[in-house]
Amino acid sequence: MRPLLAEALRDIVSRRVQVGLFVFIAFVASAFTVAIYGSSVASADAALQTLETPSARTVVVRIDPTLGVHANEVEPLLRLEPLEAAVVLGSARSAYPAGLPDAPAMAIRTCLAAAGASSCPPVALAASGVALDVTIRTFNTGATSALVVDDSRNGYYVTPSVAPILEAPALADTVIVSPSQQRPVPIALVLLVADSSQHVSTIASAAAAGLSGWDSEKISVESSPEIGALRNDISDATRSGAKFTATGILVAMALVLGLAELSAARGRRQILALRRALGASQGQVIALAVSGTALTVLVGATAGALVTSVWLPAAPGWRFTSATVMLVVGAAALAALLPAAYGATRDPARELRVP
Amino acid sequence: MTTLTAQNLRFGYSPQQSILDDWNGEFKSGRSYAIVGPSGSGKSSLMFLLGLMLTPTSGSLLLDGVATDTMRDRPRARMRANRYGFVFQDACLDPTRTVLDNILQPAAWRGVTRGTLVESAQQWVKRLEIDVPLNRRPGEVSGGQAQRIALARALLSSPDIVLADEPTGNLDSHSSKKVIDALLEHCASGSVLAIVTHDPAVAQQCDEIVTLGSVHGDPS
Repeated sequence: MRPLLAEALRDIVSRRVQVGLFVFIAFVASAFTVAIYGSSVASADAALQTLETPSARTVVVRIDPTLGVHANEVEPLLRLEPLEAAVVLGSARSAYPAGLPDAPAMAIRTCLAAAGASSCPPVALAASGVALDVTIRTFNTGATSALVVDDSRNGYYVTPSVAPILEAPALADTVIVSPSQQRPVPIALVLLVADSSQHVSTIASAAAAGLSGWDSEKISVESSPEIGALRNDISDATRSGAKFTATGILVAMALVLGLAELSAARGRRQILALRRALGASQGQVIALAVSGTALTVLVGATAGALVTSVWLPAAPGWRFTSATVMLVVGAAALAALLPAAYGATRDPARELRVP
Repeated sequence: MTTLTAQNLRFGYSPQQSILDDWNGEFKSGRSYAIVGPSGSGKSSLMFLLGLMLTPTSGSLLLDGVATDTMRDRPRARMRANRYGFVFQDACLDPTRTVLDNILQPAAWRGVTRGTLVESAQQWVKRLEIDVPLNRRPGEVSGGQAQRIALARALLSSPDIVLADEPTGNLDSHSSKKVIDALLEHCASGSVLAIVTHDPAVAQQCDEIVTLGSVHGDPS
């Protein structure tokens, strides 16, 4: 193998013009592939990132309080993966049947285990309605809190301490109820915030499965199916367009290289036949030609991919870059096969005979 | 002891046109053979057949009793690399490589590392009085030097069989003598030597003369 590889390198050195052309073609193909595909994918990822709001990632599980589902029974839902946060809400009417003067209709009991809170926060009271949005926020006290927005667009912080409230006096609607006032209340709402919109449907399915033992008429699991579909649409459209372009570049490169190789092989018929006469098998002649092309193209493609990666504002990762280089080299090696086979089948008796 | 035996060898480039018809012959080590005959009589075709570069239409070619005509490409190529040395009429050097690269090229096909053969190549260059820097390209040497470079390439690995197709066809008398002397000297050391030639003086120096008779036309 070593003598053959050394022979391939000597072949490369002895064909400087052709090698220079191949390096240039591979450089251009690799650079364009990385630039077009890489920047398209990066743009799509950036666009998708803007869709990653907590509301888009939240699965809302509504439970009729008359079912009497308690916090410990929904606890498995809080351990679903991959969750960024979970909020469990009880009914205020259940907690305070007699009612509180001017009290909001809903009591909120949260558990932010997935967000890293060390303990369950006290009960906070909020206005009636269903929470629409949940934002996880960490105050400089280190306490993790959830911002819950209700039907009326009122925002409430659910927090393990009063410190964040003192920091944000505008949140006057938030009512902190001391732990002594807490009592077990039936759960009315579970908010599960997935770590990415990609996982919303998985979390929704798992939540529905987790509550399958209860009366399904009185439980609903809602998520934003559009976000997943939209994400897929953007991703598919961008990637398929970029893939089409990248494939076009690779095919064009392979065609140019293949034709150049074929033309070179035709011009080198006697040299290739001489190699056969001197003891090279057809396999060795093919291996020599293909490895020579692959080595040459590897240099050009690596240079092209690296230069473009450095130059691109949103450079694709090293995996994408190295995959592009491998694709370019693979396409070039495939393109070199036919001309190599042509060279390997030259008949020494015809090519070396003096007319 | 090497023996190359042709049994009822038949060959033609087309089914209608046979160049060799039931040809029989035996080539033994330590003996030199001049293959003579008019143009088109099949001399070069016989050389390419004996050199395992062509496959006979029918008949057998045995190398030390082993049939070579039914072998696949790889073992035939390995046999050419390990046991044969070839000298062609117009030297057939690779113009893109240096003189040294040309002499050492068969080593790559044998899987031998060049380093072990460089010294031997330099000795052959000196012995054959090639007298050109080894980093020159074939385009920069004379016809006589090119043919001696080809000879050095053929003899470098002391092959069991040396086949030469008109090796002196384009050479002056001085270069011709050098080439033929080197070939005969190598033959005397125990190899088979077959020379296709039109030159009666060259034929006379060989141990046996193989005459191919009738003209069969241009194979191409």
